[in-house]
Amino acid sequence: MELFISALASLLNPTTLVLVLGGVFLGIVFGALPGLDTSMAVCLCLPLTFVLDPVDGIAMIIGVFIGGVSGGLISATLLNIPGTAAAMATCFDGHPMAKKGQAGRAMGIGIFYSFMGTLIGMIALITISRPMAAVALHFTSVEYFSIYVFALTMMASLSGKSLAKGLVSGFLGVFIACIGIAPIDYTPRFSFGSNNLAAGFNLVAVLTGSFAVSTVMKSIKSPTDLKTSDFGHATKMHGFGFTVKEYVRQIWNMIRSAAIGVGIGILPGIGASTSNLMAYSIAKSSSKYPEKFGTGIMDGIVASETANNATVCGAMIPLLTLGIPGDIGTAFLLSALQIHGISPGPLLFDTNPDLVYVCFAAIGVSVVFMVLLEFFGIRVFTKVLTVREYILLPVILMLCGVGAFANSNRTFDVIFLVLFGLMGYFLSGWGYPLGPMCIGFILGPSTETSLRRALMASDTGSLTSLLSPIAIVFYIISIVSVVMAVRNNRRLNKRLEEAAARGENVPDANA
Amino acid sequence: MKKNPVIEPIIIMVFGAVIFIASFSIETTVHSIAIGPDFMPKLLGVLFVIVGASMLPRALRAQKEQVVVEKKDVESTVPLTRKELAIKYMHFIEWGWTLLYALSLKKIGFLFASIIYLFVSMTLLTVREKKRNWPVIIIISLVIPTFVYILFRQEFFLMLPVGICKYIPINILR
Repeated sequence: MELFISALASLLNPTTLVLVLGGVFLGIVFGALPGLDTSMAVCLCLPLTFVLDPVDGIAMIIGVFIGGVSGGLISATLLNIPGTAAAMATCFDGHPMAKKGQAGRAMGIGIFYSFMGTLIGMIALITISRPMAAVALHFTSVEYFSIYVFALTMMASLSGKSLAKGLVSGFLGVFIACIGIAPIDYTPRFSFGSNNLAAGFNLVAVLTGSFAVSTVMKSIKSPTDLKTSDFGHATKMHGFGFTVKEYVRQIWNMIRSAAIGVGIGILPGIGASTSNLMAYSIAKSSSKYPEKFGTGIMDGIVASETANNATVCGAMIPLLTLGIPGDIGTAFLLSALQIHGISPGPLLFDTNPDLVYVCFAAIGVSVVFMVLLEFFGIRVFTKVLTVREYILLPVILMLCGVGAFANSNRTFDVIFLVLFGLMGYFLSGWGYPLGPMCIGFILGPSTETSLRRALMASDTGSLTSLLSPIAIVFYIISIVSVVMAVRNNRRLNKRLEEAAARGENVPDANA
Repeated sequence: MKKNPVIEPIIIMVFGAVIFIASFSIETTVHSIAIGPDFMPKLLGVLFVIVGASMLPRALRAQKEQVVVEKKDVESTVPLTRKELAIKYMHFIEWGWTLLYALSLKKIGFLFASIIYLFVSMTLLTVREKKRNWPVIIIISLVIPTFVYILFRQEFFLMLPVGICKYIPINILR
């Protein structure tokens, strides 16, 4: 508790608060804008965080995350377009409620339960992280290798419609990470005598290029300019739009949805895009009035918004305790931490406990800003969301260039940012999801390092030395995880196809 | 014309084979280590070939099922105007322009390259519009790159490429 209070105190200075506020604002805007997402907002913030001290930088990035997941509810409720896949289920009841002339009530419920979801998730994060890290402290490189194998199963979860295409994308990411200096013995690989290639590809260039630049180019191809009139009477909000009695009636739904959110967040790769749908479908199946779901009732919004926001905190548990990201969003957070020279993992709780608690406190501060901004700033957001794409997209591309250059002071990275963007554009156009590629690029080097260390530490150097009781458990979980991921993807694709058949706007399952 | 579905797995397998063969040229300097720096690329090469091969049966089935329907290409008979062509291939034009921007950053410098880049990009992207809002395009092209350049160089000490700015006798720009 002391550490938490001291971390909170370190955030309560004007500069940090402004940075967190700016991060939450940017996150909400990117989360709400169809076609753009939280990961892109993080990419744009990365160059700014290079020059900030780690506390400010991490607090800002967390602000972007919290804002990003919640921002999706604005366009989901007001336009029936989920700004992010995490807000898919919010459309089901949020938009019908808005169409009944209760847009303010729908927004109020969404904002309040986004807050509650994050709060419950944060409590789970603080409670679970420390004991989990204490256990992980006893792990050797053998166990770490098995954990990385488990984390790489995220590729299967992020594969979308085709597992094979997801794997190809993931292997491509690992291969791109192989270019440059090899770990352990520092041998150059595939550098062809070029110093730039020997230094390897910049994390920001690969992630921003393949994700952000390709997304911007897709938006250029199919523009989706919004008009202020599209938002109707969204800006009139009176309180959160529900009574104490209604709140009491939703307590069980809220707790159950938050538990689903945290649980799914901990599992690698599944993420908020599944948790909101799962929480919604469980809320519907266990309801006394399932026929009312989809007509604009409070229960649907509560389930979706509590679950997707709780997932953000759930995904941070494996990130902070084991150093493996729970979803693509936390993979970007992992990159941000690595850029600041911080390696998340169990040791972080001993070497930098203050930084861990800064993450916890930053979630608390961000969620308060998120509520205040969305509640009082809804008029501003509806205006910002109508900024024309011909202005927004070139400016985003320019800022992506700044991000790529800032990381290593090389124009080589800016050139490759564009080329990776081109690669990402074509790959996603041919049905290859980009998430596995990013995961492969981030986790590939750590997996290789732990594998080589584990084999070096053994006397025999044979593959049997990669087996230990804990490692075997993780290998088994990895197999189960792949099977479950494939099943979940099939179900999710089926649901998205059904939603598309009903004429609803659905986000790309591969995104 | 439809893409031949077999090409995709073949490309993946060839790519895997190239990686595998190229991995033999990686020099291993430390021989006492159980696996060398060439292990991961070789493994990836094999995995690419396996996944490509696993995609092949489905691709072959898809190729058989692919019914070639000879249909009259209506679009090709009507020639597109220059404007329609520009709209259709806008994202590729923008791509080429962005690549040119990236290549010119070092020589021209961030500030001027970005001003020109934003101006041309916004002009290109408004090709669909009936009337361009020139004041907005000009103001944004000038203000945003200048603000970013000065902010990063002066406040964050992040040395964005100076390029031709070094010839301008204004301290804040150099």
